Amino acid sequence: MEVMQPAVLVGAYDWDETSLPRAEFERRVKEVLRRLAASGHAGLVVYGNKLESAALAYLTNFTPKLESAFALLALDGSVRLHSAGSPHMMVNAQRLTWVEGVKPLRDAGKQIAEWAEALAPGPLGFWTTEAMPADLPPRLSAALPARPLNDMGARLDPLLRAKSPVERRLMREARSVLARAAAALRERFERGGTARQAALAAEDAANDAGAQDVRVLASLVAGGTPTALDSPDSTRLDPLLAYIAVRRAGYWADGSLTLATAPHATIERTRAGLAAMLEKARAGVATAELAAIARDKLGGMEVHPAARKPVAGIGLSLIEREASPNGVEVLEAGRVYTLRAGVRTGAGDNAILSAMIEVKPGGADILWSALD
Amino acid sequence: MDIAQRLDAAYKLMATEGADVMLVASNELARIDTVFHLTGYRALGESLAILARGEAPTLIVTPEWEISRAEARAAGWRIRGAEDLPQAVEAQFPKGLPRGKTATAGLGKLRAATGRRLAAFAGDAKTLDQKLEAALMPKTAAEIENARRATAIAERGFDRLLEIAQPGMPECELAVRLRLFMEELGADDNFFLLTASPHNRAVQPSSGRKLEAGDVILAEMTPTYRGQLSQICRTAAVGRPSNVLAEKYALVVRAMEAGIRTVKPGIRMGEVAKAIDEVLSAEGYAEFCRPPHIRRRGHGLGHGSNAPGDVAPDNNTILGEDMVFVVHPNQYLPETGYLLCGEPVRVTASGVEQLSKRTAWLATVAA
Repeated sequence: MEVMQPAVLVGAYDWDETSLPRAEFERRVKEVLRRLAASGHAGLVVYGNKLESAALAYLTNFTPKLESAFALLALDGSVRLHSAGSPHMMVNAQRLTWVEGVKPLRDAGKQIAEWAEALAPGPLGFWTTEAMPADLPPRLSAALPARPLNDMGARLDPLLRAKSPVERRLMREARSVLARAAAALRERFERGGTARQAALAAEDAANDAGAQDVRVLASLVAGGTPTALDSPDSTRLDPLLAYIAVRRAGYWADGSLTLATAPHATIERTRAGLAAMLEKARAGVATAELAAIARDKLGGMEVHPAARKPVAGIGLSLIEREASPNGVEVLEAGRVYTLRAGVRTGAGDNAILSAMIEVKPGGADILWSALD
Repeated sequence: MDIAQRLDAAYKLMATEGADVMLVASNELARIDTVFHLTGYRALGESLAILARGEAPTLIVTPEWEISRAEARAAGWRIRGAEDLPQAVEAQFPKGLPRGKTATAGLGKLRAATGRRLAAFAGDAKTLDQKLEAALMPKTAAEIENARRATAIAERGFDRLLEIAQPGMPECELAVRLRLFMEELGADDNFFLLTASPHNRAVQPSSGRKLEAGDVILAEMTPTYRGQLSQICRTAAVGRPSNVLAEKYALVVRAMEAGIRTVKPGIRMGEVAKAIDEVLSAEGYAEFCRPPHIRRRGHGLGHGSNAPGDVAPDNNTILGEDMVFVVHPNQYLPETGYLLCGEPVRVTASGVEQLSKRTAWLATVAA
C-alpha cells in the first residue's frame, strides 16, 4: 500500500558491506552495463529520490535521505554519484554508498552533460524516469540536445524484480522485523491501546529489531481503512485496521492486519480469501486466478479498493514496477510478493489482511502472514 | 486569515488572472504542499484540487482508499477517490478545460508520468505556482497555535536528547529514538537533521557514526503538529566544552538575539539577516557571513508555504503580523566548526514573539 513519506529519512542507511557485499554490486553493475551496451546506449543515468530509489539503491546502495540523487554509469564501468546537498553534506552522503567521491548535485542537466562529453556518441539510457518531477525530463533533454534520452525501465526493471540469494536473505531479515512490529501492534491493541498507541508500539518494536525505516497506517474510525496518522487525536478503535511497512538494508517487508475483540463476518471472509490465495500461490499462477479464488470466499461482499490488485511485488520498492500497467499478471519463481485480501461493506466495516511469500519453482514459502 | 478566507484568496487570484478553472496539484514529495494549504488534507499519494468558478471545490485523492481521511480533513470540499489522477481529472471535464481560462499550480512537481498527462490535458493553461503560494501565504490562527505546539514538542525533544545521548551511540539511533519520542508527543512528521563531529562543517541527515567524547552534536529539530512545522536549532557538547567553544557559541546566540530583536512589522526580512551579520562581522567574521559559508539566517515555516521566505540579505519581503519563521544564524566559525542556534518567531502587531520557551544555550552531554 502507499504510505506517507517523511520529510527526512533518519534511520541507518549507511552501506554495510557485511550485509551487502561489494561483489553483489559489481555483479549488478556488470549485468546492467551488458544490457546497456546490447541496446546501443553510451551511458546510463539513474535517478532516485526518497520516495523511489530502488534502481539507485540497486546499483549503488544509495538511498537519498533528504532529496534526490543521480548515478551516472559509463560503459567502462565507472560510476559517478551526485547527491542533493552542499559540498559539506557529502560527508554523510558518502557513507551511504560504495561509490567513491560522491559529489553535490547542483544543476542536473549541466552535470550530466559534462559527464556525457567523455562518452562515445550515442543515446543515453535513463532509469526511473517516471519518478522524476514532471518539470525535470524536459530540462535534461534541453541540456543534452545531441543525445536521445531513452527510458530503460522495460530492459532493466526485471533485474529489480528477480531476487538474488543475497536479496532473499535480506528480505527474510526484513520480514523478521515486520513480525516483531506486527506482534507489538497486536499486543498493544489487546491491552486496550488506542490506534496511535498501537502504531507507535509497532514503530518502536521495528526500530529495536533493526529497521532502518518504518511506516504505519491505522484506522481513523473503528473498522476504517488504515491511513496516515496525521493528527495527535487517538481513541480506542475496535476493529482496528493497520498497515506496517518496514525497511532493512534497503529491502521492504509489509503487512496488513485487522484486529478485533469480537467476531466480524468481514474479517472471517477476508481470512478465508487470503487463506485460499496462499493455498494456491505458486510459480505460473495468474493473479486473475488468485483474485477469483479470493473473491469466491468473500460471499458477495465488495472487494476493498486496496485489495483489487491482490498481488504486488516487493523488494527495494514497496510496490515494484511491473511490465504490465495492470500490475503482476503471473507469479514468477525467484520473486517476493505481498498477497492481499480485503472487504469493504461500509466506511466503518472494512477488513484487510495480507501475507508475504517467496515463490519457488515448486511452491511458495510464506515469509509472514496476518493469519498466523 | 482562516482556511475559508484562504480559499477566497485563491478564487480572487483566479479572477485577477482571468481563470474560470484552476487545477492545484500536490504529491507526497512536495515540500510546499499547496493542496494541504487549501484543504487541510496532506497528500499520501497524488492529489489535485479543482477550483471552478460557481461550483463547489473538488478534491481528488489517490489512491482511492484515501477518501476517508480526505473527507475527515477537507471540510466543505467534494471528495473523489481515484487510482489514476489524470483520468479522474478528465472525467470531471468531459468537454475539456476552458481554453484560455484555465490555470494550474504544482503540475511540474508531480511524477513525470502523471504531470505530463495533466499538462497535456491542461493545454495552454497559465501556470500560477508562485502567485498562488503568495496569495495563500498568511497563517491561520490554528496554524499559529499548531506552530506553538510543534515548538513545545521540539523543545522537549531536545531535552530528551540531553537525557539519552551518550558516547558510542550511533547518530541515526539517537535520531530515530528522538523522532519516535516526538511522535509520541503528537508530531506527525519531522524535518530532523542530527549530526556530530569534533568540527562540523554542516548539519546533515544522520549517519551511523558513533558519538565520541569531544563531539559537538548539531540538532535541527523540526516537528510538524497537524501539518504545521516549527523548528529549533541546538548544539550540545559531548563532555565538557572548551572555553573557545563556549565563547563562540555565546557570540552566535548574541547574533541571533540581535536578529530576533529586529523583527517587527514593516521591515524588510533582509534587515533581520543584516542584524545578525553585523554582530558576527564586528567580531571579525565578516567573510564567514557570505557564501559559501552561509546563505541564509533562517526561513519560513510551513508545509503549505515557505513564506515569508529566507532570512537572507536580499529578501525584500516586508514583514507583517502573524508571519512565522525561524531565525537561525547557524554559523561556521574556523575555531569551532558549524554551530547551530535557532528560534521560531511570530511577527506581532508591534514586534516579535519568540515561540520557544528557552533560548538556545550550549548544552552538554556526559562523556
